[in-house]
Amino acid sequence: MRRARLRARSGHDEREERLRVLVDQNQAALLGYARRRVHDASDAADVVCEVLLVAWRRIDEVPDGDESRLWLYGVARNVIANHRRGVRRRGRLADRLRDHVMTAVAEVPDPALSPNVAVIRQALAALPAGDREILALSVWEGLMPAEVAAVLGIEPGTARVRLHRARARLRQVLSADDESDLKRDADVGQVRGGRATARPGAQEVR
Amino acid sequence: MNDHELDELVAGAAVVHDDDLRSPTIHAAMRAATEEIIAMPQQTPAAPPRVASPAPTVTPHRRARALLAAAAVVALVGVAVAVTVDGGGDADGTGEVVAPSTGQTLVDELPIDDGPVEIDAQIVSATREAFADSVVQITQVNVDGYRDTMWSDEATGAFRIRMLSADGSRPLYDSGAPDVDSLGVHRSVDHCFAEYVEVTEQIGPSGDADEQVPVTPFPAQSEADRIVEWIETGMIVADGTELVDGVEMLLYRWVDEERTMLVDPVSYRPTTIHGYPGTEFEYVQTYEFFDRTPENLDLLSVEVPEGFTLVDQLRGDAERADAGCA
Repeated sequence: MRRARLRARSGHDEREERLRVLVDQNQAALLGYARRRVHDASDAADVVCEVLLVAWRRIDEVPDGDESRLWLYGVARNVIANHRRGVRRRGRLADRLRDHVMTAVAEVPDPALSPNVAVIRQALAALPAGDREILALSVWEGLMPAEVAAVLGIEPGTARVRLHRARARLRQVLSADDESDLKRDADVGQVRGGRATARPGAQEVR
Repeated sequence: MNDHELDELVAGAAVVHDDDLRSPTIHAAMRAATEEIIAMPQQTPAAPPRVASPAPTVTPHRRARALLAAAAVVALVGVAVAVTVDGGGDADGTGEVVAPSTGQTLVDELPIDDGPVEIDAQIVSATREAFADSVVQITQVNVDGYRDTMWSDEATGAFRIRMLSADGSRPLYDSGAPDVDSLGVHRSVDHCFAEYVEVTEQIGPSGDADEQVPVTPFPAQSEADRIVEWIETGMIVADGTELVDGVEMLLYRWVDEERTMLVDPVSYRPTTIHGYPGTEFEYVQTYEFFDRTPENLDLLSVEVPEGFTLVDQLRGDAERADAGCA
C-alpha cells in the first residue's frame, strides 16, 4: 500500500514537473498569442489562466516537444472563441492565479503605432475572423502550413489554400494606393516588420 | 507587393512579439501562476481516451440491427446525461466536460454488443474500409459562399482540391496530379489567368524545401485517419440521433467544439460535418463515396483546358485579387 502511494506520488511529481517545463518553454508564445488576439491585458490574463488550467488538467495528453506549443495554441483558440462569445468562466479561478498572470501580461509593451501599423491593423480587423487567424498563425506565431493545420484541425493543403485566400483578401482590403505606399515604407524599413518568422516561399499554394 | 512583403507588414502590426516576453518579471509571474495551479485542490482528471474495442469483421448490416444499435446509443446517452447532471459536466467552470466516474461505470457494465463502443468500432471499421476502397468526394461549403471540393483515392494516394468562386459559377483554382498514375507530379491550374504549372513535389512533410523528400500531393494524415482519431481519442462522442430526410442519422458531437458529425446508421460511414454554426467559421462538409471505376478515378485528374499556357510560376495573389479571382 505504501509503495502504491509512493508510486502515485511519484507520478504526481512528474506531472507537476511536466507542467513547469511546459510553461517555461511556452510562456512567451502563450502570452503573446493571447495578447495579440484580445483587446486588453486583463482579458489576455483570463485567457492565459484558462489555458494553464486546461493544460494542468490534461497534462497527460499534452504532446512533447514543439507540438506542445501547437496544442496550447489550440486550447487558447477555443478559450478565446468562448471568451468572444461572452462565455466567461473565470469565476472559480483563484484570484491569486489571475494576479500572477496579470503581472506577466501587464509587462507586455505596446509599441507606439506608426500610421502604417494602424492601417494594417484596420485592414486585419476588416478581414473575416478565419482569415485573420490563419494570417496571424502564419506570420505572428511563425507557423508552417502543417503546423497551422494542426492548430486549426484542418489538412495542410487546406491551410495553404486558406492562407492564400487570406492574403488575397488582405490585399483587397488595402487599397491599391495604400498598398503601394505601404510597400515603399516597407522597402525603406519604416514599418516594424523585421521579425516576421514566416517563410513565404514554402507557403505558396502550388 | 509579394507575399513576403505583405507578411512583413502584418508582422509589424502585431501588438507584441514573443521576443518582448522573455523578461525575468514575466518568468517569475508565470512560474508563480504555475505553482498556484499545482497547489490547487486536485482537479477531477479528464476521462482517458476511449479506445474502441477491436474492430469486428464487417458483415452486411441489416437495417433492423443498425436501427436497434442507434436506439441503444440514444438510451445510453440518456443514462450518461442523467448521471452527468449529478456528478460531471462543466465541473471546473472552464467549459470542458469531465466524464463522471459513476456514469462511466454504468456505461461500461452494459453489454458491449449493444453499446456505443460497438457503434464506434463499426464506424471506425466502415470508415477505414470506405476510404480504402472508394474515390471519396468531400465538398465543403463555407459560410462566405466559397465552395471547395476535395477528392481522394487512398489506394493510390491521389488527391485533388478545386476551389470555386463564391457564386459557384466558375473554377478559380484546381490542384492535384495530372492523373492517378502520376504521383509526385503536381499540377496547379489558375483558371483566372488561363495558366498552369507542373512540378514534381520536393517539399518534405515539414514544408522545408531543404529536405528534398519527394512526396505525393496526398495529405500527411488522411481524412479516414482523422475521423478514426476523433472517435478513438474521445474527441467526438455519440449524442443520439438526428432526423435527416426521414432517416435517423447517428449524431456525434465534439466534446470541446461546436461541431457535429452525422453517420449513416446502415453503412456506418460519415455523411456530414457541420462546423461552428452561427459563426464566421461555419461550414458544412459532405462526404460521398464512389466506386473506384475508371470514370470516378478521373475525378482525381486535374485537366488543363485548351488554350491554357504552361508557365514556370503562377501569378501572385495581388494580380488574382485585382482580377476578382480571390
